[in-house]
Amino acid sequence: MSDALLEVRDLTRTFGGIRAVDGLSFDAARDGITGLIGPNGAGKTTVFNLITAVYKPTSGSIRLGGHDLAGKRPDEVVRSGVSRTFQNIRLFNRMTCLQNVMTPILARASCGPVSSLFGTPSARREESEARERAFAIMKNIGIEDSAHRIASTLPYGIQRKLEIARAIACSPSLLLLDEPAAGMNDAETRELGETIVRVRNDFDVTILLIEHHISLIMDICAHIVVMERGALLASGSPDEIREDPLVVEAYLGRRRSGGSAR
Amino acid sequence: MFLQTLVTGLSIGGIYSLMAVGYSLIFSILSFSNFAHGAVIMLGAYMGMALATKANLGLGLVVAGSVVGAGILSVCNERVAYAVLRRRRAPSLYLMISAMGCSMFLENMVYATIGARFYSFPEFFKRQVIQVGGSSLSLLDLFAFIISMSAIAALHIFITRTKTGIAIRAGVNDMTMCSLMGVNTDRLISIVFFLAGAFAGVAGVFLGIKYLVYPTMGWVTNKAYIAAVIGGLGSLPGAMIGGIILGVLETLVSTYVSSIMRDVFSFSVLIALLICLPNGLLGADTEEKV
Amino acid sequence: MDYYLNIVLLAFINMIAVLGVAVFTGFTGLFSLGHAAFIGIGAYTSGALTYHWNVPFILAILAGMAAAGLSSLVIGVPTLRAKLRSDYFAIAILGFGEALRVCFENLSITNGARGLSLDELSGPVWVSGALVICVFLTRNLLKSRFGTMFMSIREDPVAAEMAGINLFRTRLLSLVVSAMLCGVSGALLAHRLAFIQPVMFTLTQSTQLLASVIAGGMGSVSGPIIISFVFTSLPEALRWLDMWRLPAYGLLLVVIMIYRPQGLMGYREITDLFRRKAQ
Repeated sequence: MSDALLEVRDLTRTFGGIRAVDGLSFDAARDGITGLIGPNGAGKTTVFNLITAVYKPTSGSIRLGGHDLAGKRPDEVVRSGVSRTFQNIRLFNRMTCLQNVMTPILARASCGPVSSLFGTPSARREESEARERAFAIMKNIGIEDSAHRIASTLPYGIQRKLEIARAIACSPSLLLLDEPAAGMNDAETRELGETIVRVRNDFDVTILLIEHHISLIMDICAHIVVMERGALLASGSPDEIREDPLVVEAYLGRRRSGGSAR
Repeated sequence: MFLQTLVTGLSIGGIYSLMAVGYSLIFSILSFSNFAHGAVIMLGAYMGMALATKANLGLGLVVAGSVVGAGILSVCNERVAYAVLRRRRAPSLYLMISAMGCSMFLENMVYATIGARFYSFPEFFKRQVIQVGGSSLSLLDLFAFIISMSAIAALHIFITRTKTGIAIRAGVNDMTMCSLMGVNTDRLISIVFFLAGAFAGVAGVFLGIKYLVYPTMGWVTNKAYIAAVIGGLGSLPGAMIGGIILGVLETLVSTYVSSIMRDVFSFSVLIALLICLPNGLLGADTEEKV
Repeated sequence: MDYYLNIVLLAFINMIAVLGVAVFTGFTGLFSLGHAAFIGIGAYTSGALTYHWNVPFILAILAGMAAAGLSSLVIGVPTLRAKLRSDYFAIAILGFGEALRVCFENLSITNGARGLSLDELSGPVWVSGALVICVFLTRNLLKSRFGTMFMSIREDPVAAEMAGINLFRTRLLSLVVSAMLCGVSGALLAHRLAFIQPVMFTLTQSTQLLASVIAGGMGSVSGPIIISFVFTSLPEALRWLDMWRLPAYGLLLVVIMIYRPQGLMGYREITDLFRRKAQ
């Protein structure tokens, strides 16, 4: 699998005695959209936290483009090309939409504190470049009209998109989306799916997507990884997953019998 | 000589532990530094003082009165200054600022009404000493240490054995979950503040007996905060151990090196420890929930 | 006239320190109960230099600023490390302030608790010049990429880290800048009052700085500056209230947190208000 951007091998993380992630291995193909699904508590978000070094793995390895991410701080992982959104939106609430998107760009800018103190031309140039790039990203996502509004005052759907825009502003090669469609209706979910596909094409990113809207996963993912209780249950194309007896029984099946199929 | 110093250190350490445990208890459940804790200790001392001099009560009743008084004060403090912020889920910075405001208000109200005068407790022990192996140990020091340790032991039993105590420990883990499970969190938090206040009352009385009672005496709590950090923020055994270690080390330094260097020394211990063990002696790795 | 001039100059000096706390608490969202210690370091460093060695005033101010900045590293480096809660810093700086006061009281270079008598060097030109320069540079910094990074950490440290910000280095920068501003303020204060004593740099002063920043609005430069002017000049006008001033500050902090946590200006500047009217 030489075309895998992200390679997760035997990843394990325990909290106390509980194995939140248990010997998980999977790949995310370069420039593809990979879905990560599983029942609540399966350890999906923990996988994101491990990839982004918010948590340290108990054992196992995570490689991005062939480089091991072990021992890096979260901000170093971001700089090496991973960015993410959060399950429960975490924006910079009292900053404008534009400032939110500019933050990651400014974080990697090069000018130091002294030239910032004196407002040198190079500092100003960096600032205006960041502004232009942030606008370009917001335009692509379709939120440029809200650029000067305070993030906390935005409607929920725009906040979700703003979080994606901010993640793209990190210039990632791997984008992790944690339930971006949570709380959205079918029409909004479909539109978000289109946005995700467009983002993948326009910004050349590989996407790993956690989502409970199975229809969204089936529509846009080329490859799906199913987790249960921290471990890998199955992986394959949407058709394979749909047919997989283990998945049907453990995940889709239970939903059907519970009468809450989506 | 060494034994004598050690006992003095243990008694001071015991008082630090009492203060640090109260502070740590609140920290563990609401995750913010209650900087008003020192003011509650100070008022506890004043209450004990009033009971001892105006009502001529004995030590037992003085401590009991101060425990109840400081406990109620601490609960009122929470209701007035933190409850609204807590329900609004305000950032912990706001709670700290509000706590600082309370501390400033209470301390300076005492200045403005009672005045800056230093008061001393009546002598409960008449400087009694007992002779052990050639060194004379102050009865007060021994008593202070024993009372502090018993109070902490009682808290431990309360927290591990009773239903309310277990609810508090659950609250430490996850407040939201606790309220979803039908625990009345307001009541739980009031109990925690009462306990912290009660400990502050005991600490206040002993501080007052050992030193004097005056408006800014609450700033001895700086030592308690440092002790709590040494032990690991939010950990109750850590706060106790941190308090004792700090008290003993300080007394050794002021006896054998120089009493002036004592405060510089406590600060250096804090910095050295944070460099070697960032989370303190018993503190958990504070990974944030994402 | 001299009386009023003196009050205005003291208010200006106080504003520089408030600016420092605004950077650290208002913009970066970290709590400090010990910035008076940095004022003290600035005051004593510059004071010792002019008193013992007749160093030119400008160099003494710069030395006070540098000393305050360096000393902030002593507390900042062990306590601001990425995964630690910022409470560690708040507590360490409390201890630092106490330890420092003991040092001031017992060193011969500071003349101990008796205090140092200095020349009255901070005239109107020095003070207003320093204020203008400090406000100008601080505003530049806060409008630059560092200001945006500070604010993002205040809003959500986890998300800020996920935007590629090195939490430790950025918080440390904010601390050093704020300590340096307090150092400048201390150097000017020492040579304005012409006398410094260890008891001048205590918790009460730190809390007043904090109160100005919070009442003025966290995330604003102009708000805290306006409030600090009010806070410095009002007690002079209402001398009879002196005893009730500190309880009132305390109450004010609680009331603001409960009813108006955004303070006077919120997250805006006074210039924004005029701009809005013009539109």
